[in-house]
This record gives sequence, C-alpha cells and structure tokens, in this order.
Amino acid sequence: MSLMTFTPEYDNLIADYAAGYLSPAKHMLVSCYMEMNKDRHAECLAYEDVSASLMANSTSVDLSDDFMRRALAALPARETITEDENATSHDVAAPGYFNTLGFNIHDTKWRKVTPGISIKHLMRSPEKNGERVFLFKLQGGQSMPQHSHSGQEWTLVLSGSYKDDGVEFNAGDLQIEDGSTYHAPVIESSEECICLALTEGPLKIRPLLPRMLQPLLGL
Amino acid sequence: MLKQVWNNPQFKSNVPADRVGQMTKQLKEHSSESNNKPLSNAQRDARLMRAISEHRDPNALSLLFQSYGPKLKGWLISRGVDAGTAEDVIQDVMIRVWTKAGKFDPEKASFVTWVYRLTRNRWIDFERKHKRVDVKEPAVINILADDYQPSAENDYSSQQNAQKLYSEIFNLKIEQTELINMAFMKHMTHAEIAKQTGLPLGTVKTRIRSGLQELKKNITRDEICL
Repeated sequence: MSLMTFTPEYDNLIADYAAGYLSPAKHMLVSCYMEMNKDRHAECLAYEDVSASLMANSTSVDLSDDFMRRALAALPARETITEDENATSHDVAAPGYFNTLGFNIHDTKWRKVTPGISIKHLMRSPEKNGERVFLFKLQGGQSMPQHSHSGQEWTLVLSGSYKDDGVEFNAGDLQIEDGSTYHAPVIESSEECICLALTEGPLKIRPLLPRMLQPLLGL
Repeated sequence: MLKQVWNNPQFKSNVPADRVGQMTKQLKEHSSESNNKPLSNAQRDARLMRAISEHRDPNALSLLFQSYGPKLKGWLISRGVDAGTAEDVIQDVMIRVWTKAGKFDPEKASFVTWVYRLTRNRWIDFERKHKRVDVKEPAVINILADDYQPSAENDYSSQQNAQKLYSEIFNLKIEQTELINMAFMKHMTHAEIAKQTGLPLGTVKTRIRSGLQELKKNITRDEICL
C-alpha cells in the first residue's frame, strides 16, 4: 500500500529518523508516516537498537564534576510526579485520530481558504526558506493550484487519495518532490483528501488568483 | 577514534573499578533474591529502573547516569553540541527517566534504546527551540518531548542486549561495519561516505542496507529475569 517517491538523498529515511538526523519538522512527518506504516516502524525499532548500541559503545566524555549533584538536586519531588499525565480526552481508536498530531483530523478547526480548500498550520520556522508544516484538505474533484517549491515539498496522505502526474497516492503514501517541477495534484474521487505537508520556503504558485491569495494563506 | 572503538568489541564500562564494586553492592540491595550470577547490563538496568519506579530511589538514577551519562554526552558532542548544552539535554533526560520510569517496560525495549530515544528526541526538540520554530498546535511536539512511539501497539522486536547487538555489528563483514559506523555515528550522508571511501554511491547504499538487513535478521529477544 505504501508508496514513497523519494529524491535520491532520502532513500535512507527511516534509518536517518532512527539516528536522529532529521530536522524537527521532518522528524514529526516521518513519525506520522510510520504511524500509518507499521512495518516501517518495526524497521525503525531495529535501527534505533543499532543506533543505541553504537551510542552505548562509543567514546565517553566525562560529565562535569558537579553534574550529578546539580541534576539530583533539580529532580521534582516524589509527591509531585503523576504517571498518567498523558491521559487524553480523545478517542484514540476513532478513524482520523493520529498519535503524532494529538488530535482527530475529522474533528478539528480548519481555516477555509477557498470553497474547496482548507488548511491548518502546525509548525513554522521563522527563516525565509525555513520549513512549514501544515494540513490541507481538498474536496473531491478539486485540484491544488499548479505550483512548484523553493525547496522540497513532502506530502503524506492521511485520508482519501490524489493523483499527481499519473501516479495515485493513497492514505499512508508519502511523496517527496524537489523544487524543479511545477505540478498540480488532483483529487479524482468524490471523497475529500486530507494531507500532512511540509514545505521548505514558500510555494511558487503559477495561476494569478491563488498567487494573489498566497500571503493570506501563509503558504 | 574508530580504531579505539573497533578494537574493543566487548562492552567497556567507563565506570572505574572501585565504583563498580560499590554499584554491585548497591545492586544487591535492589535485588529481591541473592544469587551470585553476574547480572547482564540489561538486567542491571531493568532492576535500577524498577527501583526508581517503585521506590523513587535517587541512587538508582545516579547509577544509571554514571554509567550512561558520559556515553550520551559523547553522542551529543559528536553531533556538534557544545558540552554545556549536552549536559543540559542529559539533565532533562534524567528528569524524564525519573518521572517516566513507570512507563519503561523491559519487555518492550532495553534501557539503552529507551534512554537513547529520549535523548535523541530531547536533542531534536532543543534544535526546534533554538531555531525558534513556531508550533501552532501544541500536541504535535509531544513526539519530541517524550519516549513517544508512532505505533504503541507495534509488536516490538527490540534487542534487549546492547552488547550482543554491538558484537553482531562487529561480526558483519568489516566493510559493512565500517560503513554502518560512519552512517550512524559520524553523521555522514551516503554521498559523503562515498567520497571519503572512494566507493561508488550505489555500493555504499547496498553495503549499509545489506548490513542492516543482516542485523535485523539476527536481532532476537533475550529473556530478562527480574
């Protein structure tokens, strides 16, 4: 089921996640990808064992003399520790709930930007070409404005499907595009499509009207 | 540095001998039955974690971090983290271990892997703060703040024994061991490895992948007797 179209430097994505080489935004997106692709998560656990084993056997650097004293003094008091702070009011088994996001994509606030397109911002770096992570939701039959990217664009399908340049992407599939092509993903079915997206720098949108709207959308 | 690592396929503790004696004595106090069989590191760690979760024993925490703290510091510094920041991250991890000890399950992961994951995630979260990445939806950073797992119900095939896995890494063909070490410990991309070794990029990828496949095949679960 899982389709990955990668730029060559990302064919090692799961091992890079395990080794801690990904940026915070990419780490989060890959985490969500593995939530949907359990076999890749199993692969990741093996890589984490390899990384941990190499860490445990690598060169040590002594802690400062007073480290342990300071660290133990900073521990929270026993009585203040609650074990079940992660208790959640969400129904974690409901379709559309993602551990990685911490909410249900079918039960969250969206910002409608056109009649068929809604977005929800998740993370944003202050740098001009920094990473942005957001969710977008397209109604069935819609297409994204034709666009390219300043840097890479990662798209993980959370529900529904879309077609881009003849390739169909379904729930759990991840598409990684670099900034070299203009493309316009289309939702062919009548079902809405929700994706988790990561871009580096602003999108380069070709049609004039969406381009004028771009500053308002924050994309 | 590589040579130093390679010539010591067996796990070497960085704890001085006199401390080990002291640790063993303290461990016996944590042990419910007294037998004379030496504890594996994984068993020792699991017992110390139980002493933290059940008795909130700061001594146990201190022993774990005397053992792993310098390793974690070395790992962080190899990432380009300065020594002060590395200790801040480790202190943060220590607090997590202290407060989350009840969530540690030796059946699911070794302590080494668990504490590695905590440290990696805290380091990535530190980078996020440093780069002032604005988070619009607070729940999404939970994955960086904890020992978060994308799929909690996954049937863990986690290796319990870091030394055994480590020796398996060294049982691979030498060229595989070398490349895996470069990729996982020296933060080198496949392209950089190809450049440094003079191997074609495709060969680098194939050797790393086949090495990891081989390790995955050999990873087995060890029984931990508590």
